[in-house]
Amino acid sequence: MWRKVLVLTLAVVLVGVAGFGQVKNPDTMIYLPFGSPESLDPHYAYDTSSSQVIFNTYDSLIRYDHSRIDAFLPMISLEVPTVENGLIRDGGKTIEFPLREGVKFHSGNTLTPEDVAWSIKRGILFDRSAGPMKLLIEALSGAEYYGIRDWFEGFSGMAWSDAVTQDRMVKSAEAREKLIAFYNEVVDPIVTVEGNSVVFHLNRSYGPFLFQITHYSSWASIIDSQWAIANGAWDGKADGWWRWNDLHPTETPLHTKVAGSGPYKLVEWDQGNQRIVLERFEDYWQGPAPMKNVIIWGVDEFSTRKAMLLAGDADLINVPNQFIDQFKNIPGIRAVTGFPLASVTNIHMNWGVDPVSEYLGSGKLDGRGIPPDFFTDIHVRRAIIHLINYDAYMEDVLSGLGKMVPTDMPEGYLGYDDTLPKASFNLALAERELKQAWDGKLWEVGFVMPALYNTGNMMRQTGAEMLKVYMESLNPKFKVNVIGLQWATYLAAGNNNLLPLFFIGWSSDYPDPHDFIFTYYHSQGTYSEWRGEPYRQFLRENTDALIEEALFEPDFDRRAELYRTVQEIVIENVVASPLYMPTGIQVMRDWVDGWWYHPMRSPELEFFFLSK
Amino acid sequence: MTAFIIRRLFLLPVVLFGVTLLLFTMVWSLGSDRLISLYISTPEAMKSADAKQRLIEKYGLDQPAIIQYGKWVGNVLRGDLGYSMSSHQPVLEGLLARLPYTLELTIFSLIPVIFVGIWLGVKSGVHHNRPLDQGIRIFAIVGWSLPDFVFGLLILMLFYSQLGWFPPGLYSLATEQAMRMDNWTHYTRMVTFDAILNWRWDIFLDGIRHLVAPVLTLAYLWWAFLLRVTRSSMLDVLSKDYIRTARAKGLSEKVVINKHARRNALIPVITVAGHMVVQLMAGVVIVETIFTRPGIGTFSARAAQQLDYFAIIGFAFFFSLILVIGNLIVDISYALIDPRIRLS
Amino acid sequence: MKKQNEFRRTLRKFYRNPTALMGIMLLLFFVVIAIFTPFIAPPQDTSNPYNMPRVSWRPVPIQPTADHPFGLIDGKDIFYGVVWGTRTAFRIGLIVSLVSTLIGLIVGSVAAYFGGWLDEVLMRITDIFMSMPFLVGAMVMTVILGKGLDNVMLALIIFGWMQTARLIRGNILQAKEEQYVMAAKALGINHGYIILKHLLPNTIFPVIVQVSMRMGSLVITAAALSFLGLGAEPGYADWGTILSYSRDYITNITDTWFTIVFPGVAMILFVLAWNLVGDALRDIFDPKMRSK
Repeated sequence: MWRKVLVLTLAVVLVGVAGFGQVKNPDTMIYLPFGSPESLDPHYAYDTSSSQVIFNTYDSLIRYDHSRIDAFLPMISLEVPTVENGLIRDGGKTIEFPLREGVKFHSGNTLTPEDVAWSIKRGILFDRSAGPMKLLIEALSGAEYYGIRDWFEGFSGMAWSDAVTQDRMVKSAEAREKLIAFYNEVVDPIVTVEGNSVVFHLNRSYGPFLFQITHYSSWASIIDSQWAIANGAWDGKADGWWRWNDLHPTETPLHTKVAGSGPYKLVEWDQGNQRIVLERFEDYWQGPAPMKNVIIWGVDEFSTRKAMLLAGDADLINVPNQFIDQFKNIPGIRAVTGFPLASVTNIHMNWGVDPVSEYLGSGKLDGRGIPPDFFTDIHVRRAIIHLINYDAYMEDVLSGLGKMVPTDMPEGYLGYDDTLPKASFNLALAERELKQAWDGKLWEVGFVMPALYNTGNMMRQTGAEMLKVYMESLNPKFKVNVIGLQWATYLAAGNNNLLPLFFIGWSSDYPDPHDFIFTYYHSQGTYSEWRGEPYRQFLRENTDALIEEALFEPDFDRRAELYRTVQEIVIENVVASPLYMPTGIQVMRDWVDGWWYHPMRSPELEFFFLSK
Repeated sequence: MTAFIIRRLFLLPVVLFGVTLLLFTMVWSLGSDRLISLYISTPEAMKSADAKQRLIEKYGLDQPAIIQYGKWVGNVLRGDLGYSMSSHQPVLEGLLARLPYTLELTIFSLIPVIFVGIWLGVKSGVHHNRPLDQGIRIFAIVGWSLPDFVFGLLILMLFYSQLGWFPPGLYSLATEQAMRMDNWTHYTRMVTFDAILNWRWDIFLDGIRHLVAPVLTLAYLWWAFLLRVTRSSMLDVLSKDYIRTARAKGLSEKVVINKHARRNALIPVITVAGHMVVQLMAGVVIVETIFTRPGIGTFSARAAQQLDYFAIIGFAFFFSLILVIGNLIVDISYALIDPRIRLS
Repeated sequence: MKKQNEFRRTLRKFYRNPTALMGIMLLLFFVVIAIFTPFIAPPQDTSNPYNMPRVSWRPVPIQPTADHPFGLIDGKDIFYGVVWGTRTAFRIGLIVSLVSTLIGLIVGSVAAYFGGWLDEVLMRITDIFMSMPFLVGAMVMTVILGKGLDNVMLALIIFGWMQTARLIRGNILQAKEEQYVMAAKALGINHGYIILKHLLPNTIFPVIVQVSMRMGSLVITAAALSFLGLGAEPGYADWGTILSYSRDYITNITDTWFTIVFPGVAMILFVLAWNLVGDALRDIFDPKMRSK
């Protein structure tokens, strides 16, 4: 057996020898992420693996200016609409994008304003369940609706299920009339073509509107409507549009094919191998990209990714934050760290747990559990946020790749203020607070409290363990059970209001404070649903109005001020309990040029700028 | 004989039905809350209030298991195994696309397993209880005792990281580009066999190069198994009367072993080897994961981890089919070779 | 009288076989460690000793020191994990083997003894379970039940009794045609009595061998499930769990060798011990060998 191996090895070594240190594969950029795209349809996909491919193969109207999240550059549009240049009018309700001419799609068709209009409308009519279109729908409907079906219902008074069957057939002539009317009166006027411009007509000024259609948001992609229609997508007509609503991945031609104008064309998507092969589009309006070929190969085993990077068989790889130490001082490798990312991880305290929850122990303040409203006492909350050793956490657990933030909003966002008070590690303060909690009864009686995290997430698990260690050190009657749940169970339990104290995070869909502030501090935000009715009541009384005002406020400074006020309120009342904001890491061979970070894009890559 | 075959074939639908129903009800019993995680994977996706409800309706997650299972059976009879959310393509397409890779790995692993296992097993049996036998047995048992995922990772590190000889994956970049050229035809989708059929020896070698490490990992586990079986079969045969007769007749030991003993000893071994092939296909998950080779192993592992119920029962259906038919073929060949075997 | 001599002869054969002796010594070594575990590695939290205590907030592998002779991984003491992991290994092996063997024995002997449609039904059920791809079935079960050693053991039991059932069924099918069994049946002796007292003792030896071999492979399978992310809870004192941490640091093996070597060697020796013993038992119980 070994003889055979030896002979084979000799043969192989003779056939292919790798030169160490030279640039390998000079025409091809190879990136190894984790996982693979769910779908290449820009209106279906809502995961980073998919957007990785989509924003390299499609264009949008505008893009961010380099690494900034508060400034834009034009892309397919000739100019970025602002109030000053008159492209934003009527108090923010009309937004015009004059289009660049001569932009070509991969198919050879020319990009026209009709393509833009079609893309937007098709997207919101498509609106697949739990997909990305809710963001655009929220923006276009003035935050009244999050789904096209609700919008239809609000407009026509008829429930979707009464109008359309599960197989998307219309149920009655009346339903058909209403559906067509909905299109003609609500959807069609939203995006119109005027000359060589595309114009959006909103019924309310929406602060974060521009973010929804900026490059990196895959749902803002401009699709080659002629190709799409010819291949079975929505035909652009009012009659029958419901047949293209909430499709299954195999029902859309854009699932495995790209109809874009971006700098790269799709050559192959090998789903079995998790491999995407892209080729440079020579007629790209900005000129051809430096690298001719791009390969995005999902390799799930980290050690294998690292081995390939070191061998030069990959140019960039995905590296989970905790392994940063493995890349310090390796010749030929460059590791960039410390740039802010658009997400936050926090400790959630549920003010009104569902009494049937199995995590409450006895459910009473008797030393063997916690009552469902345990966290309504501000002393308990304040104690908990001071029981985390934040310095040790950032240094040891995150390997330095994290920062403390004052509230559940990342650095750099409008309204972010680093001078606002942040939580700190203070055992003495925690002890004082706990002695006052529940009129002193808590210290006497003790409790058994759960600290939950989702299995596989080492950072959250360690956070829970840290809380346990320090909490139990204060009083022998305090017990913390660290419990790990599988992700699916975790999400379900959280959504059903069953988790008393748990660790989770939120990743930004767009870099506007609304995405975070609303989610955490508005009574209708996603995470408010997970924190009980008393929590929501507090928000209704204290922060809801401010947040709503900020959403529609066209003046940026006034918006920043409003968000600051909200943050002050939530800090003072210990409604906010952030754990950390992660900072990013990008590891690559040092022969790769042109990389820069962007909080909305990283760790994904924009290959147009990269070269070897 | 025909009765036997017919009986076995009747077994097929029973088994297929039983396996898939069992798995399906197990998964479905989790309830719509857990099942929905297949479609919603992040809290961000739950922003719109009705997202969950719409998904539950769309995919019928709150309907009883029997109804959904019935729908699945109906679809299967029409050749549709459903869509795999974890692999982002229809289940049947996914399985068929990946099957060649697992098959290739299995076939190439059989070579060292069979030759080394049998050769060493024969040697061991012949030199029963002498140092050579003890040595070979320890070697085999050590192999059987090593956890395959550790061994695989170590092999990868040694042969790829340190030596750079055997990279992970199916083929190199150059091969991939060559396969997209017009003068390449896909016959079997197995790199090595296609390379031969396309008369490209460089690609053949590239394929082999990517196979050495995973084959080594897969093989070392299994040749211990085959070795043991061969050895005990050999010992059995060597104690038989006709061997004693042959020796008494004055035939040389070499002839006795090579002409008489080995051939007869190999009969039960073939059965075992046949059954082993199918088991190999089930056990490739670890090897495929470590060496980044797509195959039905990674397909099934990913499906199980994400509760992708269509992919899970689709795979189980597929695998049971292969298992039952495979076992049938092996048993038939066994009966054909040795007419003394009672097929009951 | 005859049985006693037989037993003594068996034991003697055992002593004469060097590989068997080696196996027994290794096993004894592990048994001693398992018995004295709380003294060798005193637990911090006596109500939950299998939870490896956290000694550092840093997740990366930390070199062995005097305090932590096997080093640290994920902030936990590897020495503690390896020592308590011995008990875990025995638990997994013994519980799963015994329970699944019991199930297999019941199913197989009932099927073989009574024959007819009962045999058919039981064997079809066995076939169904055997046609289930084991890893997928076990993974689905652990995803459903959640992580945790108990669930892993349950999954291994549910998908592990079939070989025993078939084996004992085959043997009993042969044995039940023997004279003494027919006689007992004719005398009207209770079926259960016949199975337990007459059939099983003479047919059970291959099963014993199988149990021994399975002890080792069960530990490996449980470790493989941990590797695939579906095994014991993170932080549980189990060799497979410790090994699954090491996979991400294996590229720096010169610095992180201890994360693999200690739990790995423990696992290899444990499995080896059972395999050696099982192999020796097979040789000894093999009727073709007895005459020698």
